[in-house]
Amino acid sequence: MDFEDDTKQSFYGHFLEMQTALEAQIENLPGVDASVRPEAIDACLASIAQLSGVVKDASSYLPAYDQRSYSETIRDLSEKLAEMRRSLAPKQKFSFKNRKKDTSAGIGGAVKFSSTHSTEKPAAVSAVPEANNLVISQQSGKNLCPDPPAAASSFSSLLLSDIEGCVVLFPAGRTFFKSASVKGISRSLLFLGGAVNGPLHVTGLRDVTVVVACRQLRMHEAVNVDLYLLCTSRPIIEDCSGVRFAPLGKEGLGEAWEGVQRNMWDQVDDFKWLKSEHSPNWAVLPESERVSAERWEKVREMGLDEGLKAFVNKSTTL
Amino acid sequence: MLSILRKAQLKDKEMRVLMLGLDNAGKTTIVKHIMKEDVNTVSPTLGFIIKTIDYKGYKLNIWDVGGQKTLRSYWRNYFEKTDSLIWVVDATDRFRLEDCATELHGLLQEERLLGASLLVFVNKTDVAGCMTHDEIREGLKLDEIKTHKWTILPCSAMTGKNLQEGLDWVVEDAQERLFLY
Repeated sequence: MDFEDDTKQSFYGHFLEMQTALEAQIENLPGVDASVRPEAIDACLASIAQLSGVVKDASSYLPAYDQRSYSETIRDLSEKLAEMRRSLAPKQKFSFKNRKKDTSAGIGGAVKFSSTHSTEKPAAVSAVPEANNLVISQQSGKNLCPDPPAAASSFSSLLLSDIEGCVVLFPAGRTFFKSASVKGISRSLLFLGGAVNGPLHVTGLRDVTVVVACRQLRMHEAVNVDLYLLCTSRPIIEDCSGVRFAPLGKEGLGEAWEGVQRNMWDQVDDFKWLKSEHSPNWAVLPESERVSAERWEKVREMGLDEGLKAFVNKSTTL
Repeated sequence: MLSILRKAQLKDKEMRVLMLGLDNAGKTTIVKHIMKEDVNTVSPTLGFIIKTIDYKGYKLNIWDVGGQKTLRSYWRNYFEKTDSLIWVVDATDRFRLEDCATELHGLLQEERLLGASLLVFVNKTDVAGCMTHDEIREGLKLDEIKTHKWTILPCSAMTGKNLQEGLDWVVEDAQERLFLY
């Protein structure tokens, strides 16, 4: 019995030590330079997870009451951290560069296309950072190049909806979002690149090309869509037709993607196809029709060349 | 009543936990985290996954059923003998909170689930900018639920936050309702 009491006692000491250290860490956050703050926050989160792991491991010999009070302490720590994060979150300012270029200057289809529409539309762009999310909705005929500020790691969800005839292009090599929802897009190019380090949920696409890396892909109600995809799990489609997949290399996507071992871009499961034969709803994009990595590189560098026309003008009605 | 008696007779304290929610809510990732498995390579669930966890002297059989639209019509096949329902919500999914509420309230009409308590796991709360507790509580109209004992808990399948607390609630609730010893 004595031994057991000792163990409990020393666990208490250990826990208290970690708790105190963690509290100090959280309280120090405002003093941490903004550029490394996300890392500091991550470290706090990791410590909290670790602490809860320690309690979990000790659950075999801790009395239920103790376990609960440890859990409560951990929860308090999480809340304290969340509170601190809220108070530290910078007021994000966001702007789109509305690229107005002379159509005769050989800039290419996408821009030409853009300008014909934007003359009739108000120039105001409703891309609002809502809390820490980036929301782009109800856009038509524009080239949208969101340019999140340097300390953009605080951005968390990307919400794209109701977009027609647009090019949405994120800067290369950086990750901004932990998840993304995309809904109601037509005749557009979504060049998300490596910006979304998390699951991607897509609904309602028509005549769209998507270039994206993600952890999970769920695509619903998509028609005539080409995906250049890096996905670390099996992508699924549901209620789709005419979807074609091509691989996206991890080069240039940014740090988050460097360690990726396996791209499962072509191991697609179709919820609307249970037979063992290949689903008629999707195919591998023939190599001869793929846009080369070099060309994507050009697009990535904002070189909206003639090539873009091919994506945006997928339906010939433009 | 009969089911309570039947339960009381069971020697191995076994429970059936049904985990449902829209696709992309994070159901499988939650289970993986609880099982201490890798949470970074989870693929969308094609059918269902059953995991058995020994937790505080109880044997929890967790039925993790895929949330894609196509699969939702099969959910009913799993209702029988469910002791606890865990409903998982994606706190970042502002587009589909209404869908989520509709599906949940549809489930609660099911006669075969009347005997189950409801734990609402609000997942992905580690993501800044996610919906608040109140937004979700209101969006899901939880306060209108009178037919089931319920609770709501913010959690994170990535950090593990509150997962254990959620299981605690499930087990404690079962102790009160199902096991007479």
